[in-house]
Amino acid sequence: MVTVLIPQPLRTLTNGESVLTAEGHNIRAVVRNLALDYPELAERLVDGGKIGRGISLAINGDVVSTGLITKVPEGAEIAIVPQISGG
Amino acid sequence: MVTAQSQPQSAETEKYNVIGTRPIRHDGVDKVTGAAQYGADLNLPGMLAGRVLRSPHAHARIVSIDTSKAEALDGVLAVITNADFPRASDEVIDTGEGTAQLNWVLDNVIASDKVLYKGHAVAAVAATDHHIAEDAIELIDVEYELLTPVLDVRDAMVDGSPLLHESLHTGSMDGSKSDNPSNTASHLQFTKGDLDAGFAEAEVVIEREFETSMAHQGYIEPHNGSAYYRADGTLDIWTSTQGAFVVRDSVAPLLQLSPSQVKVTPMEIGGGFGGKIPVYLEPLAALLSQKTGRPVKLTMNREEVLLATGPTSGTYMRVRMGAKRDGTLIAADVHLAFEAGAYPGSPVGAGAMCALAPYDIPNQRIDGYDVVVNKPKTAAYRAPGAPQSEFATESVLNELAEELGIDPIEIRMKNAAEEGAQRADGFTYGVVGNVECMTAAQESPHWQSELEGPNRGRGVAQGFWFNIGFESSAYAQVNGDGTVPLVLGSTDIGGTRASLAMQLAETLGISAEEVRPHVVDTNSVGYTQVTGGSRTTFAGGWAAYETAMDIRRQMEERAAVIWECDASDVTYGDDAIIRGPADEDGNDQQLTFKELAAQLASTGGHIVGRADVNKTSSGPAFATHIVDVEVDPDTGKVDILRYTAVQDAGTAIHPAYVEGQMQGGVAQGVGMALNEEYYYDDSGDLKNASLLDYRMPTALDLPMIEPIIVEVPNPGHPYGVRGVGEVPIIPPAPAVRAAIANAIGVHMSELPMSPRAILEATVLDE
Repeated sequence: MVTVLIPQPLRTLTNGESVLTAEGHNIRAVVRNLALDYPELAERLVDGGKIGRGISLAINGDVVSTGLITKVPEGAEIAIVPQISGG
Repeated sequence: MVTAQSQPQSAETEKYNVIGTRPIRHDGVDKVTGAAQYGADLNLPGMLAGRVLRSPHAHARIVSIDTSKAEALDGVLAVITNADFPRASDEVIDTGEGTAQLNWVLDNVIASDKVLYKGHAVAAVAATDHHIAEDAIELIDVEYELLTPVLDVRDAMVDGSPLLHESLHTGSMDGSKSDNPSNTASHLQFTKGDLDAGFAEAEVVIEREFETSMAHQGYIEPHNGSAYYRADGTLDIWTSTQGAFVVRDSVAPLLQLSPSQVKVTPMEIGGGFGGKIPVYLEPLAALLSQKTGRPVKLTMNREEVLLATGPTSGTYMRVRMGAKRDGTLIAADVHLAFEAGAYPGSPVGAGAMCALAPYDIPNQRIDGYDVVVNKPKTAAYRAPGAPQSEFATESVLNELAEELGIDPIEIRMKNAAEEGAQRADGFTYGVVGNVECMTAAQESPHWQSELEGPNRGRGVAQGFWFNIGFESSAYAQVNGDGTVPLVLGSTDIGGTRASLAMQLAETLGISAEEVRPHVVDTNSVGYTQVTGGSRTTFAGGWAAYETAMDIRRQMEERAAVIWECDASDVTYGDDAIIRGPADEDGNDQQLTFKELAAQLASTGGHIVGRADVNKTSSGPAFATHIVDVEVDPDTGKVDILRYTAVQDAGTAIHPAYVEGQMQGGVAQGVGMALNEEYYYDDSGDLKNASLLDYRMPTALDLPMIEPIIVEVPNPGHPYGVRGVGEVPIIPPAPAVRAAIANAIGVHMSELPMSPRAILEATVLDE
């Protein structure tokens, strides 16, 4: 089971829930399981086989750079954040 | 070959042979002798000179463009406008560490129906020499319908404000869009705890508003871009860029080419700081070359750089922060409105995530707005978004400390985010050196010293930046003489040839001088993300480490061939001695790296190590800065008397270059604090588009900046590296603001805190 932290603007897609839990060994599986109860959230998180436009996912504080196949350890915490650039 | 300087390693790095030493950079001789080749140095047979016509207006509709007279001029071979490019879709492309909509990338390169800032490219010319190209652009007739420019972020957000893009609606993180078009491109929000309950519990609350000006990265080398579209349909590009692969992946779709048709060679770079990630001239040079069949070179002058390339955002920010009497921070409400320039994409997201990052505050709300205005499209600039947002929050924190009578470092230590602390955006910290930086600052000779004299003051501030990882590639071969050429895809801006070569050398157990790093084109190395985000020594270092480990494995196999044993019985030691099982007589068998290198050909051929990595872990960085200033009450001029920068580098691979990054970051931060600003008139005309009037600090404006490197190794890297390039630009502005307040009792509310601003504030204060 992993924990998904929902930022305020996305809570319109989760009936106001700020923290969700889901099963899944990688991002794709986690999102697929989230889709069972929160299909709109899943559509926002994954678009065209990629992580949704303008957002990044972070697993235990590390930004996902390998897309939907990124492994998610048991008990991990997934944050949804804007894309970050650097100088 | 120049040799390593002998200086002591730190306690953290003395266990290493190479890491923590200070070898002279491999590219140093070429740089100081002028042999290094920059983009403007490139000359190819038959090369044409390009020139760009730019808009004199900040906001106007293009009614018509007549290029006929320019095309008729002797020596002109091509004139292009936006209409000559294939139609770009709203497809989203990778533009470095972020993404952008392709049609907006094209429209920023060369305007389509509207010009959106003064200096916006409208047409480009290729001619047999630069003078003819200059004359030709004067012959292009453009008819404009003038529109009202929108120059202030708050004005732009007001309903009824003139719109830059009729198709732009405010987007939210949930994917929804506003019903009506707006200049506000997006809104994001992070929350934590219960804000109202937090403020109800607070015993002291301070609220302040801030405005900051656009500021430019100030790299000394102007942009350039050369291209040669060959008869076989392949395109060569040579350019000054922080990311050759990003240039390839931006230009290819703009010309409807496959990335495999495009090869980008990164030339030496004279500074970037984030501003050399976007493409500006490369697509124009490519299309001009496609039309003429000859190589074309385009270069910018300084005025073009300031008018038309990406500065960092100007902002309006509001911060309300509450604390208990004992200094415990209990609530913070942060409002950030960032100018994106002409197209969406300010760094407000990163600014929002950094705003309160150094502290563990239970109740927070951070709102961020990305807003388009009639100014150049912003680009990344060293810790993009964080210098602004942390200026606001650190400034309010300093005032809270003052109000509560608590030492400004003590209040920071009391509330410091440590391992396990969670930010409002959901990130939870691993091992970080936040408190360690504060402690080192507190114990520094600077903080322990007394500051005396009238109109003098001392300030302190903290800074945070994420640092990032992502994709890097490296290859290395072993020569018969034991030297190791290292092939890299990362543009070397701040000494990364050296820092990556050192990590390869450490892993192989050889010297840094025996590694020969080379930065190559996009066809000659695996995909490598931009040099930016403080990622190169971290992620490139991972690639160098993995490459070396690949070589070690192959060297063990070759030794096994020689000793006729199983490779699992051979060990490559950290001392670069390859040891095998005892021979038939019971004697130890071993070879040095060089001895084995000399036998590679006879054991199966020379070997190549390689690695492509895509790292998610990063290693966040913190910094604590202390500054002493003296304010001239008659002129408002602020002199920096003393400056100490403390920073957690994780492990300082090359301490001299870490110190250089820290000092450079401070210099840029002081520039933003005291002088640097884009000064527009009401028509949107930038009035200070030269380095005479855009006032960057020089060596005469700064004392020796004293660096103190803290090393809290990053557990997510084989050598503990954290990025170092970005966090040092963050604390200077709030530290200088606090020092000014300490000196003259005035809390400034804008950046830069120029003599004009300080005099206005002090006169108003009286």
